[in-house]
Amino acid sequence: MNFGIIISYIIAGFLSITILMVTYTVGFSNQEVTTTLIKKTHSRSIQDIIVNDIPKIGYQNKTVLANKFVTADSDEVSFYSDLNNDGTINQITWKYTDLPSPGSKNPHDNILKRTVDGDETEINVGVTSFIIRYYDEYGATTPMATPISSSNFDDIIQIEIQLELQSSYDLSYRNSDDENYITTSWQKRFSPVNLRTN
Amino acid sequence: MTGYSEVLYVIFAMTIVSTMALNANRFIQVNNYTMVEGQLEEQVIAYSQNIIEESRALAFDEATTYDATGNSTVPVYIPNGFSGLGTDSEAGRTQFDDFDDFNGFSETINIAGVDYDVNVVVEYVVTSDFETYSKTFNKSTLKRITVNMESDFLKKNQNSDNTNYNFSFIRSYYAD
Repeated sequence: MNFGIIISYIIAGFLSITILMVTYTVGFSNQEVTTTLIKKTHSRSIQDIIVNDIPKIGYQNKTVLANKFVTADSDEVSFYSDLNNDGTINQITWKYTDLPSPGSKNPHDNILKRTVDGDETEINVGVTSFIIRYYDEYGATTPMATPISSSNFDDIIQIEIQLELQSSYDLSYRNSDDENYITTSWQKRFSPVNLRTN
Repeated sequence: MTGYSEVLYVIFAMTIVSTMALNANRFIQVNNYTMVEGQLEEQVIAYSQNIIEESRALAFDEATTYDATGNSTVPVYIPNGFSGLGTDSEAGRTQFDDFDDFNGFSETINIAGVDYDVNVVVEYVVTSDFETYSKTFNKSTLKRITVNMESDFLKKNQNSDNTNYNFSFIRSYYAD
């Protein structure tokens, strides 16, 4: 066979492999971006509800509720508030359960529940961590020990929520790679008006 | 020239493929940067809000802090009776008791493995300038807190300075 043709085949093979690798890598990157976008959208939806609920702890029109908390633990917070400003005091509960999210292939993906007066909403969009911290001083770096006893409920002035979401499917570059889940996290400390000491 | 034509074709083909590969590589880099930037910016906003909310939970001024019975004290002359900006012998953030104690506050915090530099400025603003709320060195009934945040991971390109994110809130003594 002509030596020139052999060299041409080798170069053509090299180019074909390069093109295939580039196509695969671009496709993988697109998958990562799309999954990240989906997870960020999910995370934002949960954040919106949290930001709606937590600052209203203890709220009642023109006054502050005497009893604000029912439960204050690292994976569950339950409190009273006139959530819709309609004169009805609601009991709102956020609880991160150990129940696996249905249909998810991610072993860390559990159900987050939000309950308003017994009306339960299951949030199963890849929540892999939901940690609640309570502080008895503004700007403190050490949170209060949980669960917080009812006698110490009045000491709570700040609440920090740490939320982490992961994709429900593995997104590894190669099959031999360790499991890789797209992760998005968010952390916010709230200083609810009705928990102020003055 | 006939002997070189194949070589020229190959060089041409490799140039095209190399250009394609470089463009794809750039595309991936931009994708990765966008993913990281979006994630970190969200955290920057959340932390800035933490500080603004926390400052709002405190008294408007050192002269209007709360007495032992929980009642707010009021200076005789407003706004000249208000204090200077910055801490008033408070040792740290946990001891801050009024809005402007945050003036000059700075820290480096680590959230989810990323370091953020935080710097806070509180200033009096002119009460008659409702368009720009310009800064004034005199005392007034309006104070503005500005939280500046940046991170080594947030910059427009590798050789540029870190992007500075700043968030402001204006607080009025009368609408507290």
